[in-house]
Amino acid sequence: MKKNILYISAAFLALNSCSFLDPLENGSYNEDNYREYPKIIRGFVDKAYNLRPSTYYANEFIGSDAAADNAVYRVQNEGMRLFSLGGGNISSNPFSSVWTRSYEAINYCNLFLKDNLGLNTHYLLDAESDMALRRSLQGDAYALRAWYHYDLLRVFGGMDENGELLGVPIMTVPSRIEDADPASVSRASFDDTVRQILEDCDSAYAYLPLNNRDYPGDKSYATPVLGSVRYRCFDQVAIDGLRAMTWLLWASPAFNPEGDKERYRNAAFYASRVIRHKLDKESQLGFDPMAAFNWGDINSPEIVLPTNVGTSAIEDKFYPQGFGGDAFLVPTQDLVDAFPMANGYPISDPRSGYDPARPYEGRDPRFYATIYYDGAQIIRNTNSEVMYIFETSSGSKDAPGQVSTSPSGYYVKKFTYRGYNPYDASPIRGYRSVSLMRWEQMCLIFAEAACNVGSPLQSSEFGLSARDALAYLRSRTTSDGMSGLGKDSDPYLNECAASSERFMELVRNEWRIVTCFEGTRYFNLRRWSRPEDLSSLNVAVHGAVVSPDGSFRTVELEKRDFPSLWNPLPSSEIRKCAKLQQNAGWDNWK
Amino acid sequence: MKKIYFILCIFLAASVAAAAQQKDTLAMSFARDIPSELSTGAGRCVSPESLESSVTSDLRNRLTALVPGLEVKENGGSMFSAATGGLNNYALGSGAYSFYLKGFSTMYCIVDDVPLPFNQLLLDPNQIESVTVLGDALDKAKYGPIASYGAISIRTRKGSYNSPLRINVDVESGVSMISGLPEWVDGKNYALLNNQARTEAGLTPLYTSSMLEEFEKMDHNSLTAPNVDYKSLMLRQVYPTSRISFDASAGSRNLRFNISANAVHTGDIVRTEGQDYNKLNLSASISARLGQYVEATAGFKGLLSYRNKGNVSWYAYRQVPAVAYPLTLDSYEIEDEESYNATGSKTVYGVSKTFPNNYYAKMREGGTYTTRNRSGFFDLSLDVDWSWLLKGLRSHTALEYSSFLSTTIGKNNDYLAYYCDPFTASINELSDHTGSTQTSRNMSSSATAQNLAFHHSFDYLWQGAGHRVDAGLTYYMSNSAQTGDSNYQKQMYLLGNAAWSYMGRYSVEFAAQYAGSSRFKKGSRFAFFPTAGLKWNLHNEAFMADARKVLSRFSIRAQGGEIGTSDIFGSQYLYQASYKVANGMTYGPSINGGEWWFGTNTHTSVVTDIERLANTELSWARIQQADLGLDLQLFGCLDLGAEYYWWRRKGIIVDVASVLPYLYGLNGTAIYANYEARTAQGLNLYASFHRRFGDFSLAAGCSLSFGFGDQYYTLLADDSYSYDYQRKTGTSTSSIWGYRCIGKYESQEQIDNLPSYVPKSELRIGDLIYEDMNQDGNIDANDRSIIGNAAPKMRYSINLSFAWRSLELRLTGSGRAGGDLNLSSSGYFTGGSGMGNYSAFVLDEKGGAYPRLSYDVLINNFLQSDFWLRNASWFKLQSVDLSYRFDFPRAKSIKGLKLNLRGDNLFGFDKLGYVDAEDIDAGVSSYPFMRTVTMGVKLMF
Repeated sequence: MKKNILYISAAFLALNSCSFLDPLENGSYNEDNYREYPKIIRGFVDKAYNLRPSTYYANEFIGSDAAADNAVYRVQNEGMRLFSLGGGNISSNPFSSVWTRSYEAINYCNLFLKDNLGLNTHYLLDAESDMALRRSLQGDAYALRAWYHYDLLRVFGGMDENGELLGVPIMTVPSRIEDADPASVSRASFDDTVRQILEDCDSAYAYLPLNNRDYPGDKSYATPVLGSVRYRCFDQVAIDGLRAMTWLLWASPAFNPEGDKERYRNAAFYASRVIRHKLDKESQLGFDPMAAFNWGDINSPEIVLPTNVGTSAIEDKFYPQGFGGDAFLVPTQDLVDAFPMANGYPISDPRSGYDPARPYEGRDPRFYATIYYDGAQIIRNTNSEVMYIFETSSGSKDAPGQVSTSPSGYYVKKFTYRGYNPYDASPIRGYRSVSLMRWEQMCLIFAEAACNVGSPLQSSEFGLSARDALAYLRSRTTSDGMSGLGKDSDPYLNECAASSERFMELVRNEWRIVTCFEGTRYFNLRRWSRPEDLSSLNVAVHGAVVSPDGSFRTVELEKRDFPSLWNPLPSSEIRKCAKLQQNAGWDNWK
Repeated sequence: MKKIYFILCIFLAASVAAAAQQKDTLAMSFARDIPSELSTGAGRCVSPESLESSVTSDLRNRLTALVPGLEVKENGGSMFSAATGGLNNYALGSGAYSFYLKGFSTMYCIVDDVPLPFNQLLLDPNQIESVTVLGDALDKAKYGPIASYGAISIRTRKGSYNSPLRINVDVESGVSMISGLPEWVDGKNYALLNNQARTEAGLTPLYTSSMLEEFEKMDHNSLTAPNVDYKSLMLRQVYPTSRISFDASAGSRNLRFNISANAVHTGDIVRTEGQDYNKLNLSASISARLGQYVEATAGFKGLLSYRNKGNVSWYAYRQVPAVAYPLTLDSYEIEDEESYNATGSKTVYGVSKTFPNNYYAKMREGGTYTTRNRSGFFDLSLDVDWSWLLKGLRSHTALEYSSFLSTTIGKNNDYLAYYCDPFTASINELSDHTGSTQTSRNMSSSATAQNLAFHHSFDYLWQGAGHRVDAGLTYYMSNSAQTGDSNYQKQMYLLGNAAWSYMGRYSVEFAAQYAGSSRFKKGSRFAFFPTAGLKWNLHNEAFMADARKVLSRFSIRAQGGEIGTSDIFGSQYLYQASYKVANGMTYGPSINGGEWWFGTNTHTSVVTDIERLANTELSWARIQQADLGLDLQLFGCLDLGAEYYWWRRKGIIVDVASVLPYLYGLNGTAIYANYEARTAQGLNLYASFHRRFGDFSLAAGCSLSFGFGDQYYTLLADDSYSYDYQRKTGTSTSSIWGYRCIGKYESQEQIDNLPSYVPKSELRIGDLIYEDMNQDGNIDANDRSIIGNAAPKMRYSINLSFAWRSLELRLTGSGRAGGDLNLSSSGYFTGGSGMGNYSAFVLDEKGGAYPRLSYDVLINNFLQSDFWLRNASWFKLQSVDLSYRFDFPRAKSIKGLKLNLRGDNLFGFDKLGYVDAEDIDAGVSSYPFMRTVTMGVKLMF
């Protein structure tokens, strides 16, 4: 009897114990149920989109300009600055975030693409919309995988110690921890990586819609999932742009040891397709290549592929302490010298009329829209009120050497929102996004590619000449509203168009001044050089010293010191993967 | 007369003996008491009398130096600190105290057999009957996984049957003084250092010589040369502290009760009006015998505490340099709107663009808030004597519920300040501080925690023919929840133990745990952990009978086995994958920038974040431990002992995704597995002496513990390295990694030729040179190796007690020997750049122990290296207690009166200047150590 009681109570306790320890249902999405939720699967693609940077204030954009000769950092121990002076540190690789986020995004794309998981998921009730969405998402996944591999290749592609031209490890299947074998991972060759990117572009092109804009009267955009609602995603026009960028990278001297000209031809072909689309189709939407481009206009038809919109406080990094900022990143005298005079001639040319005593008078209108100099004014965009006047002569409030002021005497004007005034009762920040591809860039790609294929003047092959592409850039109205220098006539452009070499020089300079602070200068300098030639990288950068009486001279600020053309892979990756090759010049980054 | 002395001496001897380590019966787990001679473990017990002779208001600090092998270290002098790891965490340590016992630095608190968060209770000595420290493997196993790292088991007072009413009242009052506050430079020195730094960096110095002269006037409000002594304005050096305690207990044949209450009030070092701390705790217990076989007990413990605090931290006085801006600019009267009578005045303060906050203003006008904590623990238990069923069988059943609520209510006002620029002597526009005041108090935070526990144990005891057999089985379950958790923490254990001893000579014990936790997936939840122990009391052997005059005790003991640790307050659901959704970017044209043609559709994307991948086999981590001990007592007055311990923690739950490189795209994804392992071993030695010489008696004790580097990594998830000296497996977990500094640059040639961390253009003569460990011509993170160890070589404590008739003096001290302190972790030593304030260390040692003064921080000089390591030895006299006792045995009301004078933390030695080696952040960012002196009167009725 007593034993029975004991057995029963033990059994009772045992039964109770089974469920007592169950935790509360936490309603989470986990490995057992995530496939039942289409938004989780669609979320893989959206996650990969979200990993793109949304501000130009990052190491691979304006930060890289400060590692080239366009800008300098004010703060001495900024990681990118030390990296460019030869003092880079394995624990602060300035490009490691590109590596980490790109592979993370590629893994999410692979999860979507594996076994056509995304393509076979049912998202919407309406069959036509659902099919359109499925195809778009599938195209997005391929396009993003191509994009991120391109980003990795652009930053980390290079030669290893043995002189072999390598790309990056290609990931086309989602990672599983059981199958992961770091000891066997190695970098694919540069050519194979390019082929993978182009293959993914082709797959994406087959699925994506033509253009993410709404065209009046175009029935193909009747479904609610196509058209402008897809703006900020990839479309076929953006794929053409990506193809142009990839072919141009592959055609550049650093990555083209045999000098294969066909690559330039392909680059020019795809770039011309984008240009033609803009000129012919998007003119319906108000695209005018002569009109001013406003950096605050994040819906502009000039943009081919934008990222997320944010209200970044980029002005705080550019303005001096007197106007509420801390002058973290400032332009150099060398960038200022790259701008030609208003008649189109570079300042080194005697025909330009450049006066070294009065360096800011009569310059290219684009200069006034890009950089603030001594005496420049910040004018509010709504009512022409003068909000601030820069005084950079020695001893003045914005001069080098004061608290939080530019060491070079110049301040960045491009990107800043001229409606922002920190002394307003409620200051308004502008809206911004990063334009990963835009009209001016496509013109430059075309100009560079076409002049390497044939004469800059001929337009029969692509329907457009290289000279015309540059003319668009030089004659358009600036974002300040001033007419472009080539609006009426551009003798210097015509003179350079007569020879491919001179034209190429002009294209290089146009790259520099049109896309300054957008993260192109650093990578362009590298792809234009032969692997042994570091002379264009390891240059000195200068600043301006204006004395109170107005006289002007330049001083050297820093001297760049890079061991090779290539960038170092993150050292933690080299350490964990025995076969992963590090780029030449960085052997102790492991 | 002689009788009185005789009684007094017995009393004294008893009280001294009570302070000694061995007690007659050991209050062990779940209501089974064991004679301490038969327990195979160390059996460390602390009596309440020894706890009372220390003055601090926190019981944890009173444990210092009372138990061999247990170290209590203060982290700063604050007395109000949150529990680490969350509200309901049962860990004894907190932000203010760290514990160390047998290689573990986490210890849990068990009160009346139930784990309780000590921070919600804050027990005082008059509520406590006994404190047992559990460090050995089998002792911990009897309590379940909650005690796996070490635990303190507290029994609260319940009164005794058949005893007359006893009441004690204790009143104590005194002051606490700041015992050491690291200095910062005054205004003039700040200006001189700043000028020097800027000149060297090529920038124009800001402070002219006329300003420097004017600084000496110490004018707070000068526009041209303000110089404010914030320390005297914002800090006070001394604050009062007082305490009242009361307890009463009585018992008849069938009923007994005990009530204890304590109230504490202390001030604070910040001069905010009304900043103080008050605490009231109460415990009551009543037991009744219902019939011959049943006893029922009900108890309550509660805590109520109020902390009134301003909105400014205590170290704000040094965050702004003295010369940054004038303190006040103006004050004007505020008038009532209708009657135009003055109702007060409002002060306008100054701030500057570089230092936009005026902390003095915030202290005066920033408002205050009150943090009120309130907790209640209720328990009911039933003890049944089953001898009518089976002789020697007893059971104990208990149910415990606790609830805790913490609210912070106050006002966060702002002051009115304008930007000032002392360099141009101008007052500019209004700053961000516009003088807004909140109209009413509001709740800025609140948190609750609750706990429900039930346990039932059977115990069987049989004695006969010299044998003693004791067996028991306990079933325990608990459920706890707190604000912010999405789930409950649940535990369920079945604990069994059996003990056999013969003639007091041999003892053998076994214990087993079958434990389950809600933290693991069904199927991996339960695990079995056995432990065993042996003891041999040689002094009870027949062959030792002659030696017993000299060797009155000689025991050898050992315990060992495996116990489970679930880290029950870690995150739940780690075995499950977690896909999180969050809002992503918005596709489509943005209405906020620019024009759009045709169509304004937007779509807000939802991104999926794979936070975690699944591992269904996640299960218990284990500790395998072995303890050996030797205890001797010579001549009845000298106790010696030695203990050796070894343990290995296996299967520690850790995120293993970091083992993979980023190219697999699993950055941001975690995968948990039972992977890592650690080992530790050590030796504890103790000696104590107690002897009475006529009227005079002396007791002295000393304990040393050697940790041999504390813990070592035996297995690590991520140990990728390129050079051998980077290998982490097999090294001590408290190793300090850094660069080796081999000197300072003395010539430009050295700068050009030797490898350096920063580009050569940044270096100057006087900067630090580091060793290139891998000879690759570069100084980078691959040159980091082990440069020191933060673990002390020896921890020691001393206690002394002298008594002469009714006068008694007790002293305790503790300290550490050896070990390295890393000064580069403290801003006091590595600060001094830009416009920030300078410490006295920078002023005195620049160019020497502080590298070159530079305006922009030169990373090269502030890397973690052996340049910044110092010896961590320290010793502190923790408490001094002088008391005189009057006894009136025949009086009707007051039966005894005790006067005492106590001091806490009176002085210490270390090898470090400027800061205290016990905690280098005390006085810099944590509260400074306080020295307390009190006088008290205790009345015993």
